[in-house]
Amino acid sequence: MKTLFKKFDTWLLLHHPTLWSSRLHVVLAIWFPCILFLTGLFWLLPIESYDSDQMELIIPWLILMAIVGIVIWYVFLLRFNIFKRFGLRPPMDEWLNFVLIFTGVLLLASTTLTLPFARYVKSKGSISEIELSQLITNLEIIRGLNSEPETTTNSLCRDELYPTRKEDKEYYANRKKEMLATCDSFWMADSCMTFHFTTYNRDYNLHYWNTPQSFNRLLPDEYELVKLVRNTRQQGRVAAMYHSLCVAASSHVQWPYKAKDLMAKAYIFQNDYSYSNTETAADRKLFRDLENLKNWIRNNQRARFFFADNNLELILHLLFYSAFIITLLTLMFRNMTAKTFFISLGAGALMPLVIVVLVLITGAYHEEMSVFTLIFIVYLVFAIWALTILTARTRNIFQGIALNLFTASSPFLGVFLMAWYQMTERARYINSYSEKNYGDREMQLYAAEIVGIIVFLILLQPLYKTLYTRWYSLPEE
Amino acid sequence: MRLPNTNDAVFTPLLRLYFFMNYFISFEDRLAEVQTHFRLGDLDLGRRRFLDLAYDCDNLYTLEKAVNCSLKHNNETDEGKAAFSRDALQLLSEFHAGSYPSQAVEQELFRHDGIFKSYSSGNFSLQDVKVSLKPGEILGVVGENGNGKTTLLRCLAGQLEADLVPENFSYLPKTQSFYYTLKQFTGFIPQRIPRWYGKLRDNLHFAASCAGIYGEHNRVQVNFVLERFGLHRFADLTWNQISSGYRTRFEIARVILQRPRMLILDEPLANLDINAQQTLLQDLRFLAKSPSHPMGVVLSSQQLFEVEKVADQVLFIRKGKPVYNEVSESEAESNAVVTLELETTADREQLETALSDGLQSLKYTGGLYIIETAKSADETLIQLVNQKIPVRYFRDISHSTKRFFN
Repeated sequence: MKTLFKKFDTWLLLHHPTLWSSRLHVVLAIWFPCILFLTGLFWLLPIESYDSDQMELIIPWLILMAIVGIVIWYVFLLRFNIFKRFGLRPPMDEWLNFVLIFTGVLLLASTTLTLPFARYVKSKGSISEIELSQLITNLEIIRGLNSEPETTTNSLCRDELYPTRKEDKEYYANRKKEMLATCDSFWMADSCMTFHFTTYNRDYNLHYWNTPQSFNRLLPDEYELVKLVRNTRQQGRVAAMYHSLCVAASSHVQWPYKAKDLMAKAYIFQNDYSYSNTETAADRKLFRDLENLKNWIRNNQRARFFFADNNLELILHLLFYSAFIITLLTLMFRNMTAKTFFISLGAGALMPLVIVVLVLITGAYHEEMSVFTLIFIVYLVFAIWALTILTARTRNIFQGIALNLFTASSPFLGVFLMAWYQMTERARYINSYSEKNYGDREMQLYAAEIVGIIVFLILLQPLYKTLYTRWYSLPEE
Repeated sequence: MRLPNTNDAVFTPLLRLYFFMNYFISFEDRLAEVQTHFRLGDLDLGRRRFLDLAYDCDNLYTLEKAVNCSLKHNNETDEGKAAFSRDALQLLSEFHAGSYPSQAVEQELFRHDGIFKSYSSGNFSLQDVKVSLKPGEILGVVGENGNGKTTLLRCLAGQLEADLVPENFSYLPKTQSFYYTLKQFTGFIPQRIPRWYGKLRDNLHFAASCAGIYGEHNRVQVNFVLERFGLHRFADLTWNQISSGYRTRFEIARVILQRPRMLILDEPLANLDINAQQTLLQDLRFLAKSPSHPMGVVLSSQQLFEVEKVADQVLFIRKGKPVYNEVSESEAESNAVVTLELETTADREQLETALSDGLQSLKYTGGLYIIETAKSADETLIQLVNQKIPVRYFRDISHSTKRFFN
C-alpha cells in the first residue's frame, strides 16, 4: 500500500504540481481513515453511557484535533509554493488550488462532526422519531412530578422535532390533541402553547414551542379542542403515562437488566403505588432509575436532532465559513510576501476601529444609511487602490495591503449590498414594512450571500489572481 | 573582445580552445571532443561533456540512456572507470544529431546603455552601468564589498526597479506582465540561497513541473541534472543534510531545469572549495555555451582570477560606477606597462636589483609585490630566475581587474 501511494505521489509530482503541492492526497490518505475510525469508535460507545454534557466535552477535543491536523497539513502545504515559482501557469491553477485547499480544510474541520454523526446514525437506527418524541413528552411530565411541590415549568423545544413525514405530522397533531384533552387549562402565545396540569400534589406547566408555520397549521383544530377539554381533570393519568414510558423505553435501553428492572418497577408502580404526600425510599430509587432513563432519552434526542433544520444550517455555515476564510487567507499568504500578509492581517483587525473613527469624524452615526455608505466608500478605496497595481512599476506594500483587504472583503459584498438595500427599503416603507416580510428578507440575504461568493469565485482567476501575480512579480523600489 | 585567460593547469588545451572561440560547435566536433576526453582518460570531464552532449541532442531517449550509463558505473574503481569509458564510447557511436542546432544564435540577449539605481536612503547609487550580453557569454561582475554588485544583479533579475523595459531583453516573449516573464526566463541565484524543504529530488521534480516539464521528460531531466551536478547521492537528503556547497549546486541544477535564457548568480563561489569552484565555473561555461540551450551568464564574485578565467567580459564596479568593462585589443597592445604579482622571500632591495632593467614601480601590499615593468612577463620571470630570486607565486595581472584592487 505504501509503495502504491508513493508511486501515486510521484505521478502527481511529475504531472500535476498544483495537486501534488497541495498535499491533499496525503490528507485524504491519512485523515479520511482517521475520521472513519473515530466515527466507528463513537458509534461503538453506548449512547446512554454518558450524558449530553459529557458529549459536549469531547467536541472541544475534536476541534483541537482538527486544528492540529490543519497546522500539520499547512507545514507541508506551505513548503512547496507553485505561485512564487514564476513558472508556466495552467489556466485555472488558482481555481483548482482554491478548491483543493477548501476541500482539505473542510475534511479536517469535519473531524468535529464525527461524534454527532456517529450518535445520529446510532440513534436513528435504534428508535423512531415518533417513539422518541413520545418518550420525551412523557418524561417531561414525570420530571414535573418529581419536582418540589410548587409550580414547575418544563419546556419542549418542538423546533427540533419539526416533523417532515406525513405520518409524523399526524402523530404530532394527535399528541397535541391528547395533551389538550388531558390538561387542566391551556393558553397560547405567539409561538408557544402552554398546557397546565394539576396533579395529586403539585401544579406544572408544559410549554410546547412551535415554529410559527406549524403552529398556524395546527391551530384551528386544536383551538376547537381547547374549548371542549378546558378544565377537565383526569386523575390517575400520570401513572399510566409513566408505565407507557417504561414500556416504550425498555425495548431500546441497551442494559437488559435495567430494562427488565424498569418493567418490574413499572408494574409495581401501576398496580401498587398509592398516591401519598410522603415520598418513600422506593420513590427515590424509582426516580434515580428514571434519571438514567432520562439521560438515554435526552442523548437520543440530542443526537437525533443535532442535524435538524436550524442546527444543520448553523453547522453548515460554521464549516463553510471556517474553511472558506482559511482558504482565503492561504490564497493571500501564498501569493504575498510574508511581511505584507501579516501587516494586512493587522490592518484588517484595525479596520473596524478605523471605520468607527470615520463614522465619528463624519458624523455618520446619526443615520444608519450613512454608515453603510461610509463602509462602501472604504471598500471602493481599497478596490481602486488594489487596481492601481495594474499600472504600477514597483511593488508597494500599501498596494499589497489594499489588495488583501479588497480580496478578503469581496466575498461578503453581496450580503453587504443586500443588507444596505433592505435598510433602504425599510426606511422608505417604514409604516408598511411588517414582520411578515421577515422570511423574504432572510431568503434575500441567503441569495445575496451565495451570489457574492459565486461572483468572487468567478473573478478569482481573472481578477484577483492577476493582481496578485502582477504585484508579486513587480520589482522592489 | 574577450579577455585573454590566464594559464591554468586545470584546463586542458582542448578546453582552452573553447574559451577563445564562439560558443557554437558542430555536433561532429562535440562528439569528437567527448571521445577524446575518454581516450585521454579525462573521465570526470568526459562524463560531464558526455551528458552535456546528450542534453544538447534534445532527445529524451538519448538523454536517458546517457544518464543511465553514467549512473550504472561506479567511477571510484579502475574497473568501473574502464567499464564506463567503454560503454560511453559505445553509446556515443549511437548518438544522432537529433535536434542539435545547425547554427549559432547570435542575437544579443540583453542590452542596456545605462542602468541607474539609487535608494531612497540616498547612501548609495548605481550609475550609468552599460551591460550587454550574448548567448553563451559570461559577464563577471567584480568589485569590493558594498560597491553595487548585488544591486546590479538584482536589477538585471527584475528584483529591483531600474527602468528596465521589454526592449532591453530580446529573449522575452511579448506578454502583458513584463516582470513575470522576465523572472520566468531569467534564473537568479542569490548569495544566500533561500531555504527549501523536503527532499532535494522532490524539489527538482517540482521545479521542473512548475516550468512545464511533465511526466517522463521531468523524470529524465531531473536525473540528468542530478547526475550532471554530482548530486545523485544527495537526492534523498534534505536541506540540513547537505553542505552549503552542494546547496549552491542544487540551486543551479534547479534553475537549469527551468531553462533560463539568462542566468544570474550572486557570489556563487562563496561557499565552495577550490576544486568545486573550478568545476562550477567550468560547468557554467559549458552550460552557457550549450548549442541547443545557450544562455547568458552574469556572475559576481570576489574570486577574481577564477572569474576572469571563464568570463567573456569583466565589469569592475567601484562605488556604483563601472570602472572597467572591457579592454580593446588595440588598447591592450598599446599598453606598454606590464603589471605583475609576485610572492617571494627576497627583500625589496634584491628585487629592485634583479628587475632594475625596465622596472617602473614596485609596491609591497604586505603579502605580495606588485611590479610594474616595461618588460614582458616572460622576460621578467627570466630576470628573476637568473638572479636566483625564489619565486613562490607569480602572475601577470596586466589585463586583470585585480589591478583596481591595489
